[in-house]
Amino acid sequence: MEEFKYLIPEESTDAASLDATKLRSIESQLRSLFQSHGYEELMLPTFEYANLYQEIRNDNEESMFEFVNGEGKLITLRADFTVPIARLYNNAHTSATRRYSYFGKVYRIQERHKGRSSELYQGGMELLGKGGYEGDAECLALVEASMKSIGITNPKLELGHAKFFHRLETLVQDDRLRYILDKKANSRMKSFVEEKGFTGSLKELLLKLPYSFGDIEDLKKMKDIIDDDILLEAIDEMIAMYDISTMKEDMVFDLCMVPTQNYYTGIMIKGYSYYSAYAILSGGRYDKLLSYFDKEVPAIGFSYHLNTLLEALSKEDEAND
Amino acid sequence: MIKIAITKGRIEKQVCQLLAKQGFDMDPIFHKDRELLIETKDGIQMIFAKSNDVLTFLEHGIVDVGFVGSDTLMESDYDDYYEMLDLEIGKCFFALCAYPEYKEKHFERRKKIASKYTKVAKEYFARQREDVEIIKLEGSVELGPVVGLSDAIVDIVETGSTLKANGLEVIDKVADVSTRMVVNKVSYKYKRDEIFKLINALKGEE
Repeated sequence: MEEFKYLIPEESTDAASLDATKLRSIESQLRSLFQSHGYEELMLPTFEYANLYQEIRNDNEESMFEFVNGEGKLITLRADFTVPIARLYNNAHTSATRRYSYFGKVYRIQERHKGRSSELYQGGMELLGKGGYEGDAECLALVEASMKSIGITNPKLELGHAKFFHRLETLVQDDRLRYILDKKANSRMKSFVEEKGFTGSLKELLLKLPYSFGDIEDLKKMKDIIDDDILLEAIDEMIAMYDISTMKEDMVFDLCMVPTQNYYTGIMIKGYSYYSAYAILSGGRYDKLLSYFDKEVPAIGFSYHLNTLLEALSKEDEAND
Repeated sequence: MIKIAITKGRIEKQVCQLLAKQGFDMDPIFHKDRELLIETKDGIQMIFAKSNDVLTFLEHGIVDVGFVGSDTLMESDYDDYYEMLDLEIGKCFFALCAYPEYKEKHFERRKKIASKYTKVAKEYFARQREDVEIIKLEGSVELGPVVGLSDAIVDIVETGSTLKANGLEVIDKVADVSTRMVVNKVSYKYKRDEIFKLINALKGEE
């Protein structure tokens, strides 16, 4: 049977149903916002050496579309934008501040029959060479301006901090911490703390963490039970972001947020719509990424997961009909 | 309104009884007939599903909260949820089971292991640094050794009576299993207080 005459491969199913008009209109809103703030748009290659990702990212190897090219080298369809942009910055032999934006697809193999797309349309920005509070503030301002221009009703903007997690890791010295925090697994945390015999303020903090998610007041209360300078510093950086936020009402804080990549070092940002089961936006500070290219350059960025965003917007329309 | 998917059968019964004890209105659920979706006076909407489907509904954001056995969580590839409470009910365990001779027997070939939980079995043997052949069976996994399809099985043990009746025994414990409350990550951002209320009730706190 000539199936190809009427079937599309499973990898393509979701991509075929994207609402292109809506996608392009959101894209042009983001593009003009990024442009007006001095962000240069990049067109990045679709093919990359698989090693580029394997060395740097935690992705499951099986999740990339890989081929052997004419030279016998393993190449892959672009699995992410941040790493190729870091390479481009490194190749520019500069340590000046650079502002880049991008729009395009990343390709990741998904579990079969899970209804997740293999072609993920992203749009985002990277701010390289600007560290600390100033860089964080510029990034946050763009996150908020873009969320407003897209017009998501009832959004949530969630902050976490990689430094907070890495410091806890140092204090606890046990790989299970990552899983417990990521799952907010309260019962496991209890038996973990008991087993490890933690005492004092560390014990109190660990037991509270799984239920610590909340608004600015909840975050500030956590400071009362913490006596570690680095942990407190991380919280203060989050509070500094709240202070300059124009979406204070929508901002929530998650001290259990676990950095998904090793190169994250500071503030982590996620954006949500009430109508989506996943984050519509994610990003964070990644001062360690350029160190893979033997360079010390601070950087921060975020991207919209446009497939997820489009789905959320169409569900929102349905709900309001 | 909080939407819950709950594993049909024993987990459904035990969790609903716990909630009823804490003053939740569970009558419509205790008296349900064949409805698959029920709404209670406390603003709970509950659907009843097979364990794997509970996770599917949670993953797609159809429900905010799910009640499943940790066996289902371990076997599933989906892990983007919060596992907020171990209810410590429905306790049982995963075990490697075989005829008693298995322990002494020296295998020169790859062992054959039958299981409904192929991922759990695979991970268990990977931890043991053993390369085995895993054969998926859908039910009555004990048949594997009995009919000579496999050398051993990895399965859930509750009372152990089926094992015993067929001459099999527990060779090694693989992992504990109990009922868990899992939460969709985005739902938690929007419905924290309602979810807390449920957690506290299930913990037996006000």
